[in-house]
Amino acid sequence: MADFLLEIGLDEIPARMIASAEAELGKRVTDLLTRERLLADGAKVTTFSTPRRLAVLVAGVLAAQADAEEQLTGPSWKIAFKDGTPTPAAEAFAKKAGVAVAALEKLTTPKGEYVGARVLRKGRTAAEILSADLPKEVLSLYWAKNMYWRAGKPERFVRPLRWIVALLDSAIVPVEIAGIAAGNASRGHRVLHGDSPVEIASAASYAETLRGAKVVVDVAERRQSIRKALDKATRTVPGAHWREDESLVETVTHLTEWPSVILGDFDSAFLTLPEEVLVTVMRDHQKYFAVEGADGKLAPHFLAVLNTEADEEGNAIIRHGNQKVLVARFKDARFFWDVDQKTPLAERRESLNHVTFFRVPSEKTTWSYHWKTERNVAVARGLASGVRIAGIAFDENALIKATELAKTDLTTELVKEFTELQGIIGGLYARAQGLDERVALAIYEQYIPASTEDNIPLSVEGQLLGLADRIMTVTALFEAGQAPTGSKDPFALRRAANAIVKILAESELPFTLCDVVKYSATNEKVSGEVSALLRERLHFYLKDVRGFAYDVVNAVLASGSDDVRDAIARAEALTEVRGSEDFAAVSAAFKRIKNILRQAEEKKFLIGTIDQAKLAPEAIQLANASVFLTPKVAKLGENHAYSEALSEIATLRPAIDAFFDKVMVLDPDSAARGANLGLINLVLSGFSGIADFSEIVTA
Amino acid sequence: MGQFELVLYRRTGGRPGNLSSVGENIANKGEGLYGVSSNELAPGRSLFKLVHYPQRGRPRPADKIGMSFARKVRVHVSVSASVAPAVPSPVRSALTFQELLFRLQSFWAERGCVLQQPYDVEVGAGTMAPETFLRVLGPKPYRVGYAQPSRRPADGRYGENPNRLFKHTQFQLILKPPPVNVQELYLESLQAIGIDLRKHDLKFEEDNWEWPAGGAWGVGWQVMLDGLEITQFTYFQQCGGQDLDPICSELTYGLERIAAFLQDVDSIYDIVWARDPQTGATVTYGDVRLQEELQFSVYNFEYAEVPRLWEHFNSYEAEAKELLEQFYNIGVMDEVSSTKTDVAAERRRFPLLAAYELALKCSNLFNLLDARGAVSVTERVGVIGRIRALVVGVAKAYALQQAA
Repeated sequence: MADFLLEIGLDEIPARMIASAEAELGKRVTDLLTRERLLADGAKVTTFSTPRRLAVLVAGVLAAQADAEEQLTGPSWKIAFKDGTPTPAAEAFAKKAGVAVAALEKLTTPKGEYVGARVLRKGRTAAEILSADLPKEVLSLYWAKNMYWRAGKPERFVRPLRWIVALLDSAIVPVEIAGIAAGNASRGHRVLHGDSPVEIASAASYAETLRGAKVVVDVAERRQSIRKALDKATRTVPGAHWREDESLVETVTHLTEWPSVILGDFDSAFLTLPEEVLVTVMRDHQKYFAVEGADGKLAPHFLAVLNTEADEEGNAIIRHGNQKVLVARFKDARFFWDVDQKTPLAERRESLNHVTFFRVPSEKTTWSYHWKTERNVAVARGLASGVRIAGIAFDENALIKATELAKTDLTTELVKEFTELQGIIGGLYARAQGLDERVALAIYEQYIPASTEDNIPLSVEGQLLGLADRIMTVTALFEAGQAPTGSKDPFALRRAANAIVKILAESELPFTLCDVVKYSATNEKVSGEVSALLRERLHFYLKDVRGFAYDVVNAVLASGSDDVRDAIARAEALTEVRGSEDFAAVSAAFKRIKNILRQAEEKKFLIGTIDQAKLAPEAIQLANASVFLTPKVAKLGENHAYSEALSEIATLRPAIDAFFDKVMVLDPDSAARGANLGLINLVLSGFSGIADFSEIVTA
Repeated sequence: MGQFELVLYRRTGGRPGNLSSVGENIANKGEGLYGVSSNELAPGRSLFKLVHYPQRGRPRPADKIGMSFARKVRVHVSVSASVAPAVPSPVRSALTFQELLFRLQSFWAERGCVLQQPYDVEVGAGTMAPETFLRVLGPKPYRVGYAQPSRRPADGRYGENPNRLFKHTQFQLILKPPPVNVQELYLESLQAIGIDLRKHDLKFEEDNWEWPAGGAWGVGWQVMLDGLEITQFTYFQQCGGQDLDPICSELTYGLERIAAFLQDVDSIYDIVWARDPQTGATVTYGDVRLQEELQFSVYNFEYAEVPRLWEHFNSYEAEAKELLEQFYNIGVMDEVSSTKTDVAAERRRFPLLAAYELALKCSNLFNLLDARGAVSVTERVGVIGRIRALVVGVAKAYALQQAA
């Protein structure tokens, strides 16, 4: 048994792509070894990565495949042997199989008698197989963006491949990928180690050898050491802590081979800039961690993660450089802030004529944000009337004002510089310019929820603005023929629809999906398509965001998919009862009812009236039980007491069981059959208001 | 060791006004002693600041030099204590702006690059100069470096913003095909301009470049030095809508940024452009370029006449289009009389380079119109499409011409 190491060395891989590529390479190598019967029991696979390399180490690789005996089948016995004498056919087969004619055997199969040969297949060595198959595995790695680099464009990869280490213990596996022959020479840290090759003496010594060349190849170890270094550097400021940011930790982990951390400072005068701006500059533009004081407020410090380990003088230079860059950016932000205040948001509405919302390719016209704002306002007014009728407290004037100004921040210098802060900047400006706090907050919150994990806006005005803006976008783009198809959704309309569903689900707003569409769509075809998108997103929301079982979601939505919060309540109730035995039995019966009704329809059987005279006693019992229960269940349903309603439905079980035990529904007698069908149809329609139980999967 | 700062005070009751000449006088005499500024110091407190960068030989204790000068000129001198040790000076041997360019040029010349002069037509980036845009097409290997003044009219700030310019200088380098050690060579070039990488933090962070109007894109990085983007490093994949084979690497050094970094100044305009080796007197970036930044900001934002810019645009476009048509018509109109060799010869001498210049003119005019706010949303996409048609049209024709 041996240890196998594969390291591929590249120009710096984009940080965002490393983690998945590392995992994929590990899986591909493991799958290859498994497929080729080279993986020993209890083999251990470890993967590594840095910006310049991906590696996988497999402890427990067999030196070669086990030999295997193979049974080959040849021509039919009759053709191969005439009167016991081998014919040329037998000789040819024996030659092909590599055995003596005398060694041929007779195989008796259901199809007749054939000539067989038993052949011993020698197992191939691990080195042979790896040499042959690794190139394909490596070059099949998925990358979000590829490039060519060799003349003649023979292959595409994320960045040029520079070196390969492939070792079985300490023997080099002779493999060549994209013109690079494998060896045992890796590379160390660009600066701390330099260009000289780092010889990996044996596969198992990989990680330790590279540590000597100032490269930590284990991602978890680098992540941990970065966290510790962040803690340590922050401790020099009493009471302070760094602002947790998991995705930034991931990014800097994948940007470094030998990380260290410095704490830098900036003039506390910049703290008068909004925290959102400061943090965006630090996190998104500079990849710095923000520091909070004991009071939770931003402190005038930052933490930069370095890909080096400098001496004291070096650290002072690096700190100085980073501070200067940050201060220049803060100065820019402050300059933009000041310039922007010279033109208040209210005076920017006209200039939205120059900001493109969408260019309609077919008509060669362009919809500007000015145009969009006008339509948003119309939708917002419609929604407002609905909220007013429902008696929910909100400020309609503030909503309309906010909608009118919502997009004006797109013309500000600060948003041009920090596009990710659109909306937030508008809200901050509205506040700074003395607009009503409700207006400011609604503008500020208009783009949340940005994802399914995000919160919805706090204010009713913000929720309404968010709905109006998104439903208008979705309908307008559907009108322009830009509906999402398959994996193509260039305008992120599914995400907008997700946000609409989430706002309806988690707010008090009195809207169904159809209501929302009603206020924005201008024709029936589009309103149908948009409703379908919203329903599909409601399905996604219930299943993937709220985690309801797929059959529960299907059952609930089959009985109504328009009222979002009602669908959630029904799904909760159904989840509660679906485990009970009685309910499972009722569900199974409903499924049977549906099947019978379908058969009846196929055979063109008529559904008759429920004529007691034609019904069996068990059928009459079921009819009575249903008639007794229907109003009760309906009443509970009206009061949204869905679990109680479902428990009531479950009490139908004895009557249903008895009915199906004793009654043949599709009676040859057409009158009896019609009455039976009428009965089950009544049961089905009477109790399917909360959910279509036939969708429930029962054990 | 290192840097120190002398601040010259005006003596109470003393005659105002002539301290800066005193300061300059000291600066011109002193070994490695330079006057920095007479404006940025607190008013009423001081008039001149001197910074000492020991150069050759054994450094003398900074305060001793300072005090001896002070005695000589009989002014009150304070030797600022905070400056000297706080930041180990990266400035000590910092290159001037022009030395930075010399070093980069000679570094790459020593590695086989042709040194070109800046292209003499207005461009928005070094990529647009034909030494890049056209040379990367086709199979012929090429290595070239040049400093390209790059105009972005909308970025002008009347010379008031310390970090933004209407016209900045890119040192543009094309290596076609890229050598396998292109990144290592790049790092060496940083050492060559005085950056000791062991005392800095360097990262290659993903940043893909594209120029949609040129049908050009590539993948690569922004090179970050202590948090500052100093170079755009691209593996060029497509140009003029055509796949490149071989590809090339394009290194674009932002000279102003790098110089400001090396000299540790807060404003681009304070960059020392040149220093007289005899007297130590300096000429700053502001001395050389401030007026140009101001006047072109004024022109680009206030004076450029919109209807006339459109006229220029239309007329350059028309000429470029005609040229392209004529190129494609070679051998088509008089099929009977021309032989294949004639056609090839005629194609080879056809002035596509002139057509490309006309396309560049259009691109610059569009940027001017844009800075004037004269391109409406509806027009915008259309105009970019017109430029693209010219630029990509030339690139395609050029590839044909090379094959002729």
